[in-house]
Order: sequence, then C-alpha cells, then structure tokens
Amino acid sequence: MKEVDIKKREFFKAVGGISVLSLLTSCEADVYSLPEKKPPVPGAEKWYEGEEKYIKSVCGQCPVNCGIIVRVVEGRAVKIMGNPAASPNRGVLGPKGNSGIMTLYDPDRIKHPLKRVGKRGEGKWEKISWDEAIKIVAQKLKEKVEKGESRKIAILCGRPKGFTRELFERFADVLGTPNFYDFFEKSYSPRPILEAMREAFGVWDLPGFDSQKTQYILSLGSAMFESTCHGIRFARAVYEIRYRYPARRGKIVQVDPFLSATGSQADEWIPIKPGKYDVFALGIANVLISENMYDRDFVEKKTEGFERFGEIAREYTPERVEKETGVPAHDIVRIAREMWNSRPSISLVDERSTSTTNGLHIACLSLCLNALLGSINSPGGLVLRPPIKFSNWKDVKRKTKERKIPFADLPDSDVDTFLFYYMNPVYSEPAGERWAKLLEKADFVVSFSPFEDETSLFADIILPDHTYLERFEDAQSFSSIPFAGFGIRKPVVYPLYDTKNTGDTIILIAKEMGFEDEFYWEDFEEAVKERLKNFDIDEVEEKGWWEDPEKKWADFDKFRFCSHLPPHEPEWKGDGLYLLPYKSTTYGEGSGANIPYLMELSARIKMLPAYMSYETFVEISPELAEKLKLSNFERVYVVSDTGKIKAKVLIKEGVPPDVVLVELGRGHKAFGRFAKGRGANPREIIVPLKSIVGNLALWTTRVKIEKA
Amino acid sequence: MEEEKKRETKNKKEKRNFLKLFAIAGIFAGVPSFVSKFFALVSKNDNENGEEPEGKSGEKYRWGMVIDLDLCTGCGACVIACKIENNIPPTGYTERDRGTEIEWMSLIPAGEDKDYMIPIPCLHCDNPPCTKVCPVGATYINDEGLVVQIWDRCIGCRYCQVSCPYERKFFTWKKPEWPETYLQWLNPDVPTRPKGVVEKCTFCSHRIRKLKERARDEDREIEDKELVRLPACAEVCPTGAITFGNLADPESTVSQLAKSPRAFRLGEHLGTEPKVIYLAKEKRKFISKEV
Amino acid sequence: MAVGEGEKIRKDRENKVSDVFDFFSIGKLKIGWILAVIFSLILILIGVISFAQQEKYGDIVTGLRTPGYGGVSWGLYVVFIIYFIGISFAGITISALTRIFGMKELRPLTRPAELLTIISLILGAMSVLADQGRVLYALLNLPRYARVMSPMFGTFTMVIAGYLFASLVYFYLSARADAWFMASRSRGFLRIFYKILALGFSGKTDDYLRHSYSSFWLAIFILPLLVTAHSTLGFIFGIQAGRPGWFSALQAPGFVIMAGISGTGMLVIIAYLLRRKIYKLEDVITEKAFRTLGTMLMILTITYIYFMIVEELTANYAAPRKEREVAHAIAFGPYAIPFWTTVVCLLVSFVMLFYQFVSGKTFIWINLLSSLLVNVAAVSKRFIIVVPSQTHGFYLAYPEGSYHISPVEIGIILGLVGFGILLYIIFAKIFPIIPLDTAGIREEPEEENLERTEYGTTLLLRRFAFVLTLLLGFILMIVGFLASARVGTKPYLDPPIPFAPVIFILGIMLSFISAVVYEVFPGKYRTQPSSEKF
Repeated sequence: MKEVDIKKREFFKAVGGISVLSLLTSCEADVYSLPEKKPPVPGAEKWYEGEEKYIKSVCGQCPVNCGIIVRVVEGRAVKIMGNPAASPNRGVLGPKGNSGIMTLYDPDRIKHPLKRVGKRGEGKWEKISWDEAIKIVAQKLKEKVEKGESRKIAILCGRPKGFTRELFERFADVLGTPNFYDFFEKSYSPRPILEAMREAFGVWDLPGFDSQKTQYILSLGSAMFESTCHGIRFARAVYEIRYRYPARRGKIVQVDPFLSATGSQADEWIPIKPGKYDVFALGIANVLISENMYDRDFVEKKTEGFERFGEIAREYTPERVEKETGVPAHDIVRIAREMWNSRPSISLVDERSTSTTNGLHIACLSLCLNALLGSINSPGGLVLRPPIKFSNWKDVKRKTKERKIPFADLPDSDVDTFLFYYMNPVYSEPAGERWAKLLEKADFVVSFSPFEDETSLFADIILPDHTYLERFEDAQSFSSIPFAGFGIRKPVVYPLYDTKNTGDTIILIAKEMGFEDEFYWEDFEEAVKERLKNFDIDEVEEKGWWEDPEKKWADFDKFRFCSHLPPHEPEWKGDGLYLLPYKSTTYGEGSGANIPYLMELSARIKMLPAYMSYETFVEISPELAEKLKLSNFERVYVVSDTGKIKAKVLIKEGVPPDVVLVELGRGHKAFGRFAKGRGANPREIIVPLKSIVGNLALWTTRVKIEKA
Repeated sequence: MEEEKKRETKNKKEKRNFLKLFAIAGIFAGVPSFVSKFFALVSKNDNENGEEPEGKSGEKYRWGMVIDLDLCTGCGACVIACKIENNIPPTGYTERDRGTEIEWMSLIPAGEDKDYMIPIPCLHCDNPPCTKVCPVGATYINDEGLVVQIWDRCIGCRYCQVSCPYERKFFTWKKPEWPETYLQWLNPDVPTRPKGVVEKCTFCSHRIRKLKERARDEDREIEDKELVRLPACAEVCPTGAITFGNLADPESTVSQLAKSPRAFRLGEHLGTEPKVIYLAKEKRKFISKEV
Repeated sequence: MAVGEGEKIRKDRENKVSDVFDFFSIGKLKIGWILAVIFSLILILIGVISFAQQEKYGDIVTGLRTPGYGGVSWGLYVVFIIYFIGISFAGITISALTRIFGMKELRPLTRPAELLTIISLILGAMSVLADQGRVLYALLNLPRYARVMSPMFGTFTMVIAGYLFASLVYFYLSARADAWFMASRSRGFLRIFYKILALGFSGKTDDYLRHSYSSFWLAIFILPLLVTAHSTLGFIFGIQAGRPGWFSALQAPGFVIMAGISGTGMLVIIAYLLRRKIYKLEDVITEKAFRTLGTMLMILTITYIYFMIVEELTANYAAPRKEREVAHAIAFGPYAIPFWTTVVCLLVSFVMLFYQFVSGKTFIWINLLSSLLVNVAAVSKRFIIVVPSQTHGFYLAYPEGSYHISPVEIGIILGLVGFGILLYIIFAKIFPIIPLDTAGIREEPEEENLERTEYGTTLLLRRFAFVLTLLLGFILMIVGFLASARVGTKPYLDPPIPFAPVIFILGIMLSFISAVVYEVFPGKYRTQPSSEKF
C-alpha cells in the first residue's frame, strides 16, 4: 500500500509540477552545478581567500613513488603535477599519479576507527575512539605474546620499501613473530626478478636501467608502457631511444603472447607461446654464442658459470626454439644479431613476464642475456644501484628463530591474528576465498586501510591510515632508476578525517604494549628523521627529492650465470584456453578501482563506452569467436577447474586463438561505491599454484568459455 | 552678453551644419563601406579584400600543438590530467550513461590495423566548421586561433557537434554528478558546466591567461620553454609526446617540430586546417599474427 | 468563379442546409469532436510530461548521445523538425498555385491547406525548441545573437518567422470575406469576433478587387520564400563537408521536393477526411481535385525517386570510402529497414498514381493510400538522412554508434502532433474550414464585374501607406540582415544593433503586413454596392 501511495503522490507531483516545471526548469539549467560554497575543509582557517600553494611531495599511488607538486588552493588539493627534480619521473606523471586527489577525496573513505559489530565480512561497524581502538589492539596482541603464541601473528605490510615497512618489520621482531610479509610476497610481484638478482649478483634489489642511453630493448613480455614500475622511466626513455641519434633509431621489440598496449607502441611485436620466454632467451643466447657475438671481455673477467651455460645454450638452436616457442627461427637469429649490432641493448623483464610458475628461469635468463651483451654496469645497460646511506634505528634484540610460514601456505596454517597494511589478499590473491575462510575463523584481525576493502571487511578493528597526501614519511622509489635517490612525502593538506598515519599508530600500539624501549620516538616523523640524519632534510623537503649527486653505480663481484637450467616448463592446470589475466594500464591490479576516472579510462583505451569499464571483458581472438559463434558483448562464463566467472566477450585482433585475456582490477566486493560489485575478478578462478620462488603464480590456469 | 549668445547660436548652427555634413558624408562614405565590409565578411575565406581570417596573421600568438605519435605510448595520462584540470565529471556506470562521455582529450584508435591509440584534443582548426554553423555565435575562433565556446550564449542546438568532422565537441547531456567530497578538488580557475551546452577543449586557456598575466606583471615576453608544457595534457605526458606553443613564432618548438617530414594533420582533405599537428609513427613490422 | 457550377452547388446547398453554422457545426459540441479534443489533450499531456522530464534531467533522458561515442546528436526531433516544416509546403503552394494558375478544383482546399501550413510550422518551431539543450537560452539568445552565417538562421527566421507570418497574412486576408459573411449571420460574442476578424471588410467590390490583387502578389512572393525556406533546411545538412553522407548539392532540392511530397500527401489525407468523414462535402471537394493532387504527387514522387537514384550512384560509384561506408550502412546495414521502407513506399505510390494517371479514372483510395505511404516515406527518409551519417560517417576511427529512440522523444513528438490536431479542430469549430464561396454558401462576384468605387484621395493614401510599410519592412529587413551578419564587427561578437535578428524578422513581417495595410486601410467610396446574396 505504501508503495502505491508513494507512486501516486509522485505521479501527482509530476503532473502538478509539470506546468511550473516546464517553464522554470529551463531557468534551472543555467545554475552551474557547483554549490555557492564548497564544503569546508579542515584547516581552512589557516588559508587566505584565493591563496594558492605548490607543495612538493611524493606520489603514493603505486610503488614507483614519483615526485609530485600538488597545487593546493585554500587548503584543498586541486591538481597533482610531476616534480622535475624527482629522478623517477622528472616532472611527468602517469594516469594513476594524476588521479591521486581522488584517492584523497574518495567519498567512501573510512573516517574514524571502527570496531566490528556484525559478523565477519558483513561490514557492520561501530565508531570508536583512537585511544580505545589502540587499547584493544594492544591488549589482544599482548595476550598473544604472553600466551607464547606470537608465531600465530602475521603482519602483512604491502609496501616494497621505506621506513613504514621497516617499522612494521621491527614490530614483528618485537612481537617475536617470523611471519612478516611485504609487497614481494604477493602473487603478482617482481619476486622472481629479486631472486634472480640475488643469484646473479648477490643483492636483494631490483635492477636499475640506464634506459636513457639504451638503443635496443628486447622486452620479454614486460608491460613497460602499461602497468609496470619501469613504466614511467621507460616512457620517458622513448624519445632518447628513438631520436637520440638522428641517423640511427633505437628499437623496442616486444615479445608477448598477445598484442598488448606495449606491443602496439613497440617497433615490433613478436608473438610467443605464454610462459616460454626462457626458451626464447636461450635461443637468443645460442645465436649470440654460436656467432661469437658476446662481450668476451666481460664474460671472462666478471662472470662465472659461463661454460655450463654455454653448453646448455648450444642445445637450444633457433630451430628447436621455434618448435617450442612458436617464434620463427630466422627472427631469433635476426633479433640476436640486431641486439649485438645495436648495443647498448638490454633485455627486460617485469612482473608480467614472470607471472608463470617458471618466472625465476625467465628472470635469470633475461639477466644472462644482458651479461652476454655486456650490458651490465655499462652506459645504457642494466646497472646496480648503491644502497642509500641511511642511519639506523637502535637495534632490536628480540628476534625469533622460528621459521617463517610461506605466504602462499598461510591460508592453510594455524595463524590466527593478522595485521593488514596495504594488502588485500582476499581480493588480490588467486583463489582469495581461501583467505576469506581463513579470516572468518581468525582470532583477531586488524586493518590499517583507509578504505573499506575486501580484507578490511573481515577486520575486528580498522585503524584508518591517512592517504598519501596527508601523511609524513620517506619515499624510496621502486622504479629502475640507475642511481640512489629518495623523496620525502609530506602532508599537503590537513587530514580530512579522524585518521592517523599508520607509523604513528604502530608506535602507539607498541608503546601501549610496553615496548617503549624499542619504539622510543614521540611519533613516526621523529623516527623517519632519525634515519635521515645524514641528509639535510630541509633541502630534501624543499626539492622534494634527493638523488646521489655523483650518480654512481654499485660495484659487484662476479655475475653468476643462471644455474636454473635447463628451462622449466610452465605449469598449467586444466585444459583448454590459456587464461592470461593482466594488469590494466590505468588502475593497476585493482587498487585504483575506487577512482572512476581510471576505471573509465581503462574502457576508453579499448574504445568502449565509459560505462562498460565497470564490467569484466574476456578478450578473445576473432578465430575463437568464430569457432564458438560468439559476438561482441555477449555474456559468457569463463570456466576453470575451480570455478567460473561471468564476463562479456570482446573480440580483439592480436589475441592468439588459444589465449583469453582478462583485465585485472574489477569484481570488488567492497572498496567504495565506484568499485563495489562491478564486474568479476578473474583471480577467483585461478588455480593457486606456487611458482619456483614460492609466490602464487598468476598465469596457471586453462579455461573454457561457455555461453551464459 | 548678447554677443556671447550670438556666438553660441552661431556655434550651435555651425555644429548643426557640421553634423548635417557629417551625416551626409556618413551616408555617402558609410553606406558603401558598410556594404563592402559586409561583402568582405561574407567572402572572408577568399582573402580577396585583404582581410584575413582572425588568427592567421598579424597576431602575436597562434596557439598550436604537436603530438608525436612515435613517442606516445597511449597511457592515457593526458586524458586524466585534462579531466581533473577542467573539472570534467566522471561519466557514470549505467547503460543510460552510454555516450555521455566528456573527453576534451581523448584516445582514439589509429593506424592501418587500428592497433594503437592516439591522443586527440580539439584540433583548433584555422577554418573550423563548427564556428561557421553556430546560430548564436557561441563558438568562435579568437584572435589567437583558439576555438572557444561561450557557455552562457550556447543554446544547446548541437549543430557544432554534428558539424565537427573529428567529434571533438561534447554536449552536456546531464547535470554533472559529483560525489560531495569531489567538489573539494574542483579547479577554481575553470567553471563547472551547466547542463545542455556544448563544450570543448580550450588548450587550457586559463593557464595561458595566467601566464600572460604573470609575464605582464614581470614586464617580459612569454618564453617558449614556459609554453612547451603548458596545457595539463602536455604537462603530464610521460613521454613528452605532446608539445604546445606559439605557431606564429617560427623559432618556437612547435613551429620547428611542425616542419618535420613526419608531420601531418588529421583530415587534411577537409580543409579545416587544424593547428594540432601530428608526427607520424615510423613504419613498424609485425612478424606474423599466428603462433 | 464558373457560373454554371457555382449555381448548381448553391441550389443543392440551399435545399440541404439552412444555416452555415449547422453545416460546419460551429460553436456546437458534438461527441466526435469532444472525443477528438480529449484524444489530443491526452497526447499533449504525454508531451508535456516528457518535456518536463527532459528539462529536469537534461537530454540524457532522450536517446541522443555524443556522436563518435556511440550515439547520435540529432535524432527524432530533427527528423520531425524537417517533417513538420516539410508538411507546411502543401498549403501555401496549393493556394498560390490556385491563385496564380487558377486551378479551380483546388480552391475548396485552400483554407484547410493553409491551416495545415500554419499549424505544421508552429509544430516545427516547437520541435526546434524541444531539440535545444537550453530552451530558455534559445528563446533569449536567438533573438539577440542569431547569425546569418549559420544555415540554421534560415530555419529560425525564414521558415519559422517569415514563412509562418507570410502564411498567416495570406490565410487571414483570404478569410476576411468569410468572416464578414459569418458576422452578418451571427449574434452576440461571435458577431464581435467575426467582425474583428473581418476588419472592415464589407462586401464592397473594392474589397474583392483589392484582395484579388494582393493575393496574387503575395502568392508570387511567397513561392520563392518557400523554396528558400526548404532549401535552407537542406543546407543545414548539405554544406557539412565533415559528415559523409550529408555533403551534397542535392540536399536542398531534395528537401524541397520531399516537402512537396509529404505536404501534398497530408493535404490529400485531410481532404479525404473532410470530404467523407466529417462534413460530407463530396460535391465541393471533387474527384477532380483528388486527381490533380494525385498527379502532383506522382510528379514529385518520381522526381524524388530520380534524386535517390542519383544519390545512390554518387555515393557508391568511385565515391570516397567513407561515403561508401555510410551508403552501405544505409542500404544494407542497420538502416536497411527505414531505407527500403522509403524506397518501397515511394515506388508503390508512384506506380499506383501512375496507373490512375494513365487510366483516366480517379480512384480516391489510391490517392489516400499513396498519401499515407509517402508520409511514412517522408519520415523514414528524413531519418536516414539525419541519423546514419552520425553513427557511421566518421573520418577518424571512431566505433560505430547506434540510436535507440527513447520514450521521451516519442512522447514529445506525440504531444506536438496532439497539439497540432487540437489547433486544427479548434479552428474548425470557430470558423468554416472550407471557403464559403467554394461551398456555394457565399457568392463571390466575378472578377470582371468588379469596379473600383473608392475616392482618389483615400486610394492615394492607401497606396502611400502600403508603400511606406513595404519600404519600412524592406529597410528593416536589410538592416537587420546586415547587422545579424555582424557587419563592421567580429562575427562572434554581439550584432552592432541590439536584437538585429528581431529587426530582420520584423522587416519580413512588415513587408507582408503591407498587404494587410493595403487591404484594410479605411477608405471612402462612391456607392455602397453589396454583393451579398444567399
């Protein structure tokens, strides 16, 4: 009855209002949508009317940490621009960095500490004060430690570098738990490259590239113009590569199973079977060695293990490689010769290339190619960064000797207390429901996320972090800059809500637990400044970035040729089509899904209407579409051994007939109004399969497509 | 006194006579010049009467842009930067929002196989079809060669939209819908749009204006290096593919780049004379499409 | 007026009808009429609700979207702007032709036809407004800033102001005699009403004589205006080089011919309704009238078919790729249904009309059927002119778009149609829909017998007033035109004279009002001859 009444009333309103409306609404049309007064901002009283400031800080939208200049008008961050002094980006900025203000002004941010009142995953909360929240967390953790169950605590801090991460690690040490996990434990991370670097050079760092001087890039499936952390630097290098020498144009070759955005902007795209880069790299090495086109000097003086490598490489003749990878033999020979003749040339891999189970082999062999070409610690080649000389905090005594549970095994372990920071495994790990189940029966879960993401739904307490535009911390770049450098991230606006810098929160919790000796600072800013004692902080803050004035490379002892030989066949589960989920150019693996601009751009890049960006598409080849009688935008199921997702068909040239592509990043079950419940998450149907380095691989699954 | 009066009347008479003369002269001189001016205006594009179209010559600035497709990686940073700089609302996520995109800077497929994307702002034609057809003069090409739109005058007939061969004009199909918090970051230099008008890229004219004001305050000329990355899209472009500048100055970066043998303009055969110049991609080679 | 025929009709009529009010049921409410009013009011309500939606939420409630981004910017509204303005072709042309070439069989149809013109022009103007994103701004800014350089200027001024006003003047002047006649037959309020309408017409020979002059010259001036008006509508599309499928010199003549087809067709439908269904005027609207209209329709139809063949040839034989693509999309792509509907409707009508023409007989059903068919063709052809070039005609690699007509658009068009019907039937309720002389109710003196009785002085004054108005009109027209063309200023600035477009329109209006001045200027006469006989 009520409904009917409302409808009636609405109808009468409509009819009654018509005569007035039809005359007056045209007047309404000229009212610009902006309200006369913008909503007030915290700290506004400290601004003059019309005052405008350009504040230097560091971006935090992805681990690259580009230097930014934020235009702040009357206390509101209005625009983010690149900082020319910052070495990763030199004044430019990618789409994610540009949309950073939307992270700050997200309408669905968590505005104050929350305590769960409903069931786990329900999303029912109660507002509590910071003191109370910190007390609860400290109490719980203390109980655990006192019970001697510290190893049941897992701390997940999804940052690759920086003092916040180190603070978390320190906290783990203090609690006495071995279970500390960082960015590199995630499923779609460059861990294989790190492991390869450790094997080859003995350093735990990603390689730097002197990309500005490179003349030939052989990209083994690297998404260098899309999503990877090389992105912004290699984009900046394009001009240098192509037009540095007017007579000689550098070349970018993309070896990729499908025609990606990078492939379409490269000079050449070479299709290859998924996950076979290692064999391809060996084929190139074969040609280089057999045609005597390798840097003998370097190989003799600075490497070891070349003999064994050479022997195995000799078996991989171009003909054999053609059979295994599908790349024509003459192309392999040609590329090898081109690479040698147009030195400095590099071979490049990133997290997308290494997302099969044999990622480590791929990363290793790519390094080997660089060694053969003599492109290691040479201009235009791969270089090793020296570590930045930060001073240290006072050492912590309490370290546990227990063994760490591998991240991939965590869902099957008895760990029951979790601290999540910058990590959302329920969403972003393959088969995330394993995580959901784990968290459902967990004892205590704390999340530091400023957004209500999937994992935070399972939290008992949410201690919302500032966004990166509100907090103070250091910012060490993850990108492939060839020399040492870091920036200082500082608040550009007053915190919008009752949130706290997680560094401060951790210090408060630790103090509450009685670890005053280990966490002896007033706040996190003090802790950061202690580490930066060797640097002139004011100067760094003023410039926004510090870089090594000498731009030195780190030295290394010997390069060790790959021991992971012969190549490892990538593992695939199921049969049918290869499912290759890939990171979107615009919003990463889903962490930008709460920014409508980035979401919409991802569809616009495919020339789809913007509203379609909120749906998941499965990209298939025209041949496959013909075979399965599918047309564009038809609804289908992508079925794997472990589940199925609904998606729409998008027929795309440049996709091989045995491959289906699904863009990552949609299918959030939480994460704000723009992300929640839109599209499907392909990671739900990925068979969790450990790669050689221990992470869960992403390209493991073969699927079928069924009409919905 | 009387003499004064007389003089006054005489003056008045003289004045009157003068006015009369003036009127007659006006009729004789004014009407033909009026008519000739009219025809000059009508036949403006023939350049017969020496009256060149605005923005073509004699002006100090003629804004133009060069987009190097060989550098562009199609990342879309320009699209986002433009939307944020110019307070363009998100499109929305329902079927209803199909085709209501407002993208002053947009990515469209190009190439023989339509396999890569190119950024395309308003091309700011020298001979724009859109300004000719506007029934109220809400869109026009100004003295500096910018094709601009006056929202307060626009009646929303969308004639310019259908006349643009590049689809670079956007109609505000609905009132912009902002989440409340998004209002905070809106750029105070740019108005938000009413519903029912056509809007378009302005080459970030508010930034140009600010720069001019600053240069005037400091009593100097605008330098080329200030212009090269002036608009929001050029400013952020990670590869530096987008270059902005003054085409009237032969020494400027854009003028130099525009001389490149790779330079071309979109829809050259239409005679619209765009001021956005593209530098073509070098020929690429794909080995084969089958594995 | 042919004596024999008129005499016969008059005698018949005298037997049947005693009162002209009864005959046209003027002022009398009949159930059919009330139902028609209710029907049209419902349509109007639908239209108003739809329009309110559109104004409230913006044009997003329509099916229109950005071209290149999946939609079309001009859709049903523009189709119906063209259609409504096209229908208006009929009335004034028929009247003018009747007047200039003396086609007597069409004389009874002049008033329904002129009314059709006026109403459809009003509807055209309203659908122009419906298409605007900001109606209020359109009403404010068009009178202030309209530019001559825009092809739309023709639509706004020539068609909607000039053409509409010319038709009104013509319509009014030819109705004066009937108004005077009606005034003499009525009492009270109606009498005052008709008196005002008659405005000095008193059945003097001079009145008839002057009307004969003025209508002849009006007809002569209206015909070129008509061609101009419909051509400017065609120019809106024809001069857009950036739209494959639009850029064609054939657009303007094509629009004129198609306007003729749809207008004539609509007139046949109305004539049929008046003749058979409403007033039983079989003896007034003769079979010959239908035959003449049918022949006209036949000629126009075959001309248009010829145009279409030329169009298709140009678009397919060695045309630029984009032109071919659009032509292909029209003929075999998503627009195949409207396209082939157009072709079939036009061809079938032509064949039927041609058969009627050759057979020497008159089949009213053929005329009626082909009129319906050509009106369907008129709408669908306009659809395939307006829409496909926006969804498929891109010079850049935009994806193809589509157009889904929304209920709001249909609602507004229905509302307009309803409004048109309402105006038509209300008029028919207050004024005889057929010129009374052709129905044999009022007798019009023979032109040869007319004698001027006016004194020289008033005649001179009258002529002076006429010339003055005309001259003033012309001057305003020229000044307004030049000012609207922004002479002496930059094309985008305000016109040098405020409200220049209004001045231009006023000029056009004054020029036509001069005919009214000429006719209604009070005069002094030697005798008072009366031609009233009934």
